Amino acid sequence: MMQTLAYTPFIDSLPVHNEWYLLIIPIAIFIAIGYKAIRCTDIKNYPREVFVFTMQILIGLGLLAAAMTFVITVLIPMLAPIPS
Amino acid sequence: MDPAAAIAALVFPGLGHILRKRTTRGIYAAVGVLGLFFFGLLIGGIDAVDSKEDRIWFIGEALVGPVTFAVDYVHQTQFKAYDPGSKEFRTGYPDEHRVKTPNGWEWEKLTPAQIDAGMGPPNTKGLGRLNEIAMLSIVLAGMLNLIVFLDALMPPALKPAPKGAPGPKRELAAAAGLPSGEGEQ
Repeated sequence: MMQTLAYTPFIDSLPVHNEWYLLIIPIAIFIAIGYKAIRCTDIKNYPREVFVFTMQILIGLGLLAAAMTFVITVLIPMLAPIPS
Repeated sequence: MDPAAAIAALVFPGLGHILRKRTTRGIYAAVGVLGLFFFGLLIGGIDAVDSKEDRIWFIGEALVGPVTFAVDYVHQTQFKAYDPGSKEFRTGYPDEHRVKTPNGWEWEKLTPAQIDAGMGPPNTKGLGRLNEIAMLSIVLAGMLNLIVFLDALMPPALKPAPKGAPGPKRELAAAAGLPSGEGEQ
């Protein structure tokens, strides 16, 4: 017999379906931690470089999201309006 | 080339750097790679690592190393079972539970009373966007580990420039991740 009503970490999917976009933040932090571990010029600057790289990823993705939103909600309806 | 460091890096993320006395970098690399891996597992559950149903994703996930194969082994042996109807080996539906039969583990339908009592499969299938983000996180861990592995396999060819020495050699050494005369290698 197996009880499954409760969420089990690492076994069941995390119930954050409405906040999925926030998951990019820890992913960006871990990417920066791992990448800067081998590409950081001076290990003394490591925390600062991790922070800068994390912000670069997040701002870059934010700009991409804004650009895609503009294309989909403004540009495409302007170029190819849906006939009413 | 440093084959010993490369083998160590294959066994565990960052171990190759630790073997090359770049301990701090090795630990940070391990935190990055394993952080992404376990964060993916936290989001998507154990279903995010599946060599049978998500074969292409698993190729990228396998780059993390033996830990991926261990998680996949546990997933295949402890969480899946045969469907006697379709002869499929799969994750259970919410109205099923695993039962041991002479032929191995099989899925058996539950009665409404059993479902009300809280019985069900050992895990739920990861679906939709969360499942994709979880698998993406683990594949990113694999890609990152590939970079870490290559860095451990091929130690930087340039020698470190003397401390304070200006010029392109020092910049190249820095770009290759060599010490600039300060801090750890």
